[in-house]
Parts: sequence; structure tokens; C-alpha cells
Amino acid sequence: MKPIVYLTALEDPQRYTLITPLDDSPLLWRQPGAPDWKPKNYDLKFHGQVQLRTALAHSYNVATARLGIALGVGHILDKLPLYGIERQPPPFASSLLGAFGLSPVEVSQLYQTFADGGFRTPLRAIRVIVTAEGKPLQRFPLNVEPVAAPAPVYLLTAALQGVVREGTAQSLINWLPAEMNVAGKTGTTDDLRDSWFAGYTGDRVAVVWVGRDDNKPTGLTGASGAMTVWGEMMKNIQPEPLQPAMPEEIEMVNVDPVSGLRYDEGCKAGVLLPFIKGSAPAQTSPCGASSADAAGAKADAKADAKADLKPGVKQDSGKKNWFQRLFN
Amino acid sequence: MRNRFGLFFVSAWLLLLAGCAGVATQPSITPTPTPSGAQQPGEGAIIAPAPLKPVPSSAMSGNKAVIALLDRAQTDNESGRREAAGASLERALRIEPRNPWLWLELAQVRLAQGQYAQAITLARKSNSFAGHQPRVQSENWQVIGQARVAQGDSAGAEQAYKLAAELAQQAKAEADHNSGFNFQ
Repeated sequence: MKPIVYLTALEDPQRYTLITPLDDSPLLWRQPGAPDWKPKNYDLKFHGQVQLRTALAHSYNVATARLGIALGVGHILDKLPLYGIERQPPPFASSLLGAFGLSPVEVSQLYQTFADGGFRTPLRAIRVIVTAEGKPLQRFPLNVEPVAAPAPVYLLTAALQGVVREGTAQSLINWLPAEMNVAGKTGTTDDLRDSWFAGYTGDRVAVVWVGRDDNKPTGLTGASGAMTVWGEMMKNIQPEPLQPAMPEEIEMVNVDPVSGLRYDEGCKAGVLLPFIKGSAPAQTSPCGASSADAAGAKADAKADAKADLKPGVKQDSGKKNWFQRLFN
Repeated sequence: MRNRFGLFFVSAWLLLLAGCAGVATQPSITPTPTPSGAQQPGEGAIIAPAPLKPVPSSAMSGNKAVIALLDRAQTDNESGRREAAGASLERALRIEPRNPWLWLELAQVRLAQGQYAQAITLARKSNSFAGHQPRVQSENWQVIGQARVAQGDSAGAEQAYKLAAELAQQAKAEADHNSGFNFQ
């Protein structure tokens, strides 16, 4: 459910970008008809102000809950039918954190839509029914519905790539190389009953749920359970790297990862992030590797030239010129 | 070679006010109904840019299986076997899911089937993969324009046709630039 909260936020670029600070401080939420709700983070800590992309990368419950409440719980839950989720969850803020059980098929439909730039293709198990001679009796043709605008979905994908690159799904690198740019999300329930991983590459979407048939705790988090299955499966089918087509409304802007201020174009420090045009920070910061970034930039030197085109990858110190980059 | 032929017909759209597919070779000015047939000629009729000359399937993909499926789909579509055409295109899309030409072809089949909303969505999806390819983008806006005419959305259709025309111009300019050939 969390990605829908973040997508809803990103659909309002005047208020929310990938670097908008969110509040991850303690929350007590009272709502008529529902018990008081005090969401906790998995690490049982609160993180103060965190950037939107960081809150999703580390799956911070409290920041997400506050974000969802600010956006309007009803507003978010009303979108579910668009994504093929027919069941209506209870209209409580706690529903936003995935506290109502979706099936793997429903989650697949949701991630299919993200993977497909906001176009939903209803999942089908049967394409055509044929006679013994191969003559088609009935076809179930491909159907495509636009349910979310491409630009916010592009931002969401960038954020979900952050989950794999530096968030809760980091250890996926043990199965798939960083160049695969997988977008994904772990899911863990409080009591470790359910372990989820949903994600996509350039040509595959897959969702894994691990749980027990007697519904006892599995003792697994999303990353220690479902993600290992997902990684093993994907590794064996050799997926294509994820490089979503960049919508026209998107521009890449180099920002200081700590302050969120904009760097000059030529500046080699910083993180290149996608923004919906007009929403990137206007205020600039003098160029120069910030202390927090220096180590990262070095470590990422290998990521290299393609960084120009990929969201959220730290820029290399630029040993290759633009012409060489074309062929890299 | 392909470029030269292509740009002759790309240029022709300006001279033609409307036309049925396949008659785009003469710059004679004859206002006719839009290809969807939903709009009668006369005052206030929305005029579609002339269709561009079809791009050969071999220019739409580098994959032989995809080209074969495209050819089969085109034959089926021309003979009115729309379902079969759609099925071949879906197979091609399973091989190259991000090929904007395949999505455009499927959009055209749905348009011919009268599935206007689906045609619009598929054309938009094609555009999402088109990047900067004004030729395919132009055709997508043509499809959207035709579907909107059929849906009775004249303002939307006009807007789509305008974009189609602009993109066709761009495609022509780029073709000229690439080939060094000046069409008069």
C-alpha cells in the first residue's frame, strides 16, 4: 500500500518531490470508530525530518502515516479500484500501511501498473481458447487503461529503485547486479507473519509472499524471506535492466543529497534526481562535494557514465567526455 | 532510399486536406470525410492531416520474428481480420514490449474495430515509448484525432490533428536534414 501513498503525493508536484522533507516523529492518531493508532517504525526509532525518497527506501511507517493523513486517507483509498483492487479496506489511516491483507495477485496488478508507466493491463491467465485444430474460439485481447500519469509514476519508480539501491532491499544485490536497476519494495508485518517482496525489472514484474498456512509468524522480514525467493527466481530468468522511458514532463536535476539544494549543472558532486518540470528546488548551493557525499561519490565511481541518464545515481567525477559516454 | 520516399509523402500532408488511406499520392485538394467516416464533409468538418506513407515493417523492428508478425498483422488487418491482426501484434509485443510502432499498429487495429477509447490509450502508450521520434508520434496523434472524431470530441480531435501535423513537419525536417534532400 505504501507506494500508492507516495504516488498520490508525487502527483502533486507543487507540494511533493522526491526530496520533500517528511516528518517521522511520534504520532498518535485518533479517528472516530477506530482504536487510537500509534504507528511505529520497524527499527522502533523515529527519524525526525527525512526526505520522501528516504522514507520510502527505508519503509518508515510513521512518515508514511503522516504523509497519508496529510493527503487524505479517503482520497488514497478511493484510488484502489483504479488499480483493480475491488475490496474496500476500512477507512482508517492504518489501512495505508498495508494493514489489510491484499492478495499477491492484487499486489501484482498494482506493480504491473507502476512498471508500465501508469497503464494498467488487467492480468490474464488465458489469452485465447482454441479448438483441437487450433482455431480460436474466444480471445481475451490485451486491454490497457491509463490510471496514473506517467510523470509521477516515473518518480515513484525512481524512489522504488532507491529501495533496492540503498534501502530495505539492498541485499538484492546478492542476486541481481546494480545495473539491473530493479525497482522494488519489501513488506514486513509487525509480528513477522507475512513476508513480501514486489518488484520489477525492464521486462518482468513479480510478487512473492511468504507465510505459513497456519498463519503463525514466519520469523521473516520482507528482505530475509520473500526477497530471497524473488531474487533467486529473477536471477534464473535473466530479466532486462529497468530503464523506464522518461516522460517529457520530467527533468533531471543535480541536487545536494543532504540539503536538497540545487547544484549548478556542471557540478560533479551531488545526486541526479528526476523532478516534474517546475518542481525542482530553485535555490542553488555552491558546488563542492558535501561531506556526506564525498564517500558515496567515490564508491560509485564505477557506476560511471550511464549515471547521467539514471535517476538517483551519484555522478562520477567525469573522466569520460560526452562522446565516450554515448557508447558506454 | 526509404527516407526519400518517406519525406515525399510526409511533405504531402500539407497539400492534402484529407484522404482515405492509400490515396495520399496526389496533391489534389479534395475535402473528404476523415478516415473514420464518422464526420460528414461540409462546414465545420474537422480535417485530418493526410495519412503518411506507411513505414515498411522492416523499419519498425530489427527482429525477424517481429517483422513476420507485423507483416501477417498488416495482411490480416487489410482483409478485415482485425482479431487475428490484434493477436499477431500482441505476440509481437511480447517479444518487443517497448516498441512504439507495435503499439501504434495495435492502436490502428482497435480504431478500425471501433474501440475508440482503447485506440486512444494504445496510441498514448506508444507515445510513452516513442521518445523523440516525431514520425511515430505524429501517427499516434492521428489515431487519437480519428478516435476523438468518432467519439464526438471535435475540439479534442482538432487539437490532436494539430499536434499530428506539427510532428509530421518535424519528422519531415529531420528527414530532410538527415538525407540532405530538399523537397520543393
